[in-house]
Amino acid sequence: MNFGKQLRRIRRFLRDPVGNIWTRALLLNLFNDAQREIQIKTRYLEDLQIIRVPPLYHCAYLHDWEWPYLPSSQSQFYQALRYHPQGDYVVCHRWETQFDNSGDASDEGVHFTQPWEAFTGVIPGEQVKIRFPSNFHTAKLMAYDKEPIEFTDKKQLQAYDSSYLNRVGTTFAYYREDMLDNSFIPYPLPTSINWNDLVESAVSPDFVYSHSWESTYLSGVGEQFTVYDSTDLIDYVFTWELDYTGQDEAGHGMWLFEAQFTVDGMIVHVSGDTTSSGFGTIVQRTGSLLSSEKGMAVDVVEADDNFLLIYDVLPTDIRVDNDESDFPNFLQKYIEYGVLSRAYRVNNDGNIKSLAEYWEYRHNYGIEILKKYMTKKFQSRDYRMTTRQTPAFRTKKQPRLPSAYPAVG
Amino acid sequence: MSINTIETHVLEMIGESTTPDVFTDTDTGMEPIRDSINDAIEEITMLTGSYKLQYHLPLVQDQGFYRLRLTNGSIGWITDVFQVNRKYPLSQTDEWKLSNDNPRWMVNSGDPVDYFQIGKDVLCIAPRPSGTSDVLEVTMVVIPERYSSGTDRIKLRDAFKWAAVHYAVSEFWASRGDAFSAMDHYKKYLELLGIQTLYQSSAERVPYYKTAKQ
Repeated sequence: MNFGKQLRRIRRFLRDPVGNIWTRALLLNLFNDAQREIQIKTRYLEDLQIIRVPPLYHCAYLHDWEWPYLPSSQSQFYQALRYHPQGDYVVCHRWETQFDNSGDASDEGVHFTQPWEAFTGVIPGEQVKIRFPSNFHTAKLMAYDKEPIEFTDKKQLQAYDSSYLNRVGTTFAYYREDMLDNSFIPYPLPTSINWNDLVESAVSPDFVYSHSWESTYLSGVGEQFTVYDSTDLIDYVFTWELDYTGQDEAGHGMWLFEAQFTVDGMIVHVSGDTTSSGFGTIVQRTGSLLSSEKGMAVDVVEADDNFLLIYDVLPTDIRVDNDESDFPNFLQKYIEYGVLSRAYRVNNDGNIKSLAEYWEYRHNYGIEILKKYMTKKFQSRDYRMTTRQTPAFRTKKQPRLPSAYPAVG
Repeated sequence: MSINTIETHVLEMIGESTTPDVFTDTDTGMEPIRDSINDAIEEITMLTGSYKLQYHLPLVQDQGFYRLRLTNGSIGWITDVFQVNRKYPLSQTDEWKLSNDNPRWMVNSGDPVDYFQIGKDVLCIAPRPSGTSDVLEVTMVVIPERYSSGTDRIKLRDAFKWAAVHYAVSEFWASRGDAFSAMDHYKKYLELLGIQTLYQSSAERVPYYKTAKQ
């Protein structure tokens, strides 16, 4: 159910079908507020993603003032090098901040404007930040190369390893610089980098074409970026073009390797790709024998030499009517109740306390139901109560005598 | 076009049964009532787990994570996972226990022994399967697909029919601005739901504690 339909439901309960009292913008903000509240209180949404090494960013910037000018159609920006607040300039090396003095502060390693440069065999001289997914809230499990790694903090690393910035090897821990920056820093920096997943195509095509007959007029190696439908005798890009009933979850690029990139650069959807062995990113397979069974999922990007993350999700804010909440359909009504309770409390002509209380009651009850529902997800677990310092299994079932019982002479 | 019995009861209680003029006997006319009844069915299923499906998941070699997609309905929670060929149930666990017991649980492969659910639709099994020749039978509570026509099957136990009616009537009064009546019917819904005295799967069983003494 998209936001447009939910908005109609909300307006019906507000008795304001055309928005004379509550504007769309107000209700949209209340909606985003309400769905975030539900997630924070219940932690219902969680997800699993593979984070690629090296990380990919759309572009890098140096100063904060650059931020508003960055392309709004893209979202992954990397603040490169080191900002020096006193001088309001950016430096590569620490000794540059001694500009008016001797400039004798030591520095180490190389500096870069894109994190992937740190993985090209050089010794990095600064933290290499790797982005969490855009909807990341809290980590539940982080693994590198299929083995769990632990969270640590920078102070501890500095105390035990003075060369923590330059340390490379097999990553066994990670830390975060701050919460605002949605990224983490692996320690030590991994050295086993798999560059092969960047380009899937075995040969570099000389041209791309949409219809097979086009290739006969061109020389060289061609690559068809459309899919031929033998039933309807058409070439299409997205599967929803075949019938207007479904959405294609797979991206189609003009070049094969483009199909591997999505917005986050982490989860990769490839239609009709062959199964690769691995334990990482999940995609829904389409266009093969397995795909005919809905629900089949295969890994395409391997967890080998990458990070695997299980995490609590922060619901994505809704912006337009076609957006859908991250919550499944059967939970979206509780968001609506939250919107209604808030809307009836807004200080405008629609302020009605009794209705605000009614919908608040429904909203709160919904959250309680959801909490109860979350516990049911663990109903299949076998729990066993134990006392402290007691072995997991007691093999002898004999009665115990009290310790003060006199010893037999 | 026809309306089902729950919708009929709702129309009766809001005085629309004899000459309906607000909620006409069409899919569009009945949409508000159906929305409310669908909401009630979803909520009751969430609370009671009254509707289950079995999902057969063919294993893929070396694949540990599977995203489950249902054609109709949404996944509630997984209650049992059974390995078909070797005939044994998998144990429910979580990522912390697996990491604590064996940090290489994502590396090792073999016959799956444990499982856990991630989020709304991801199933993780460990160790990851060493072959593709087996199938897991996953039993799960399913939140039923919303019905849209008067002839669609209503996946609601008869005992909860009147609870759903009061739920819809409550929302009707709320949409008319009458919070008092709305709350009144909502309390009726909660009473009729009878969470404390649900039909047990085996009411004759009396739970009791006992010691391990012989």
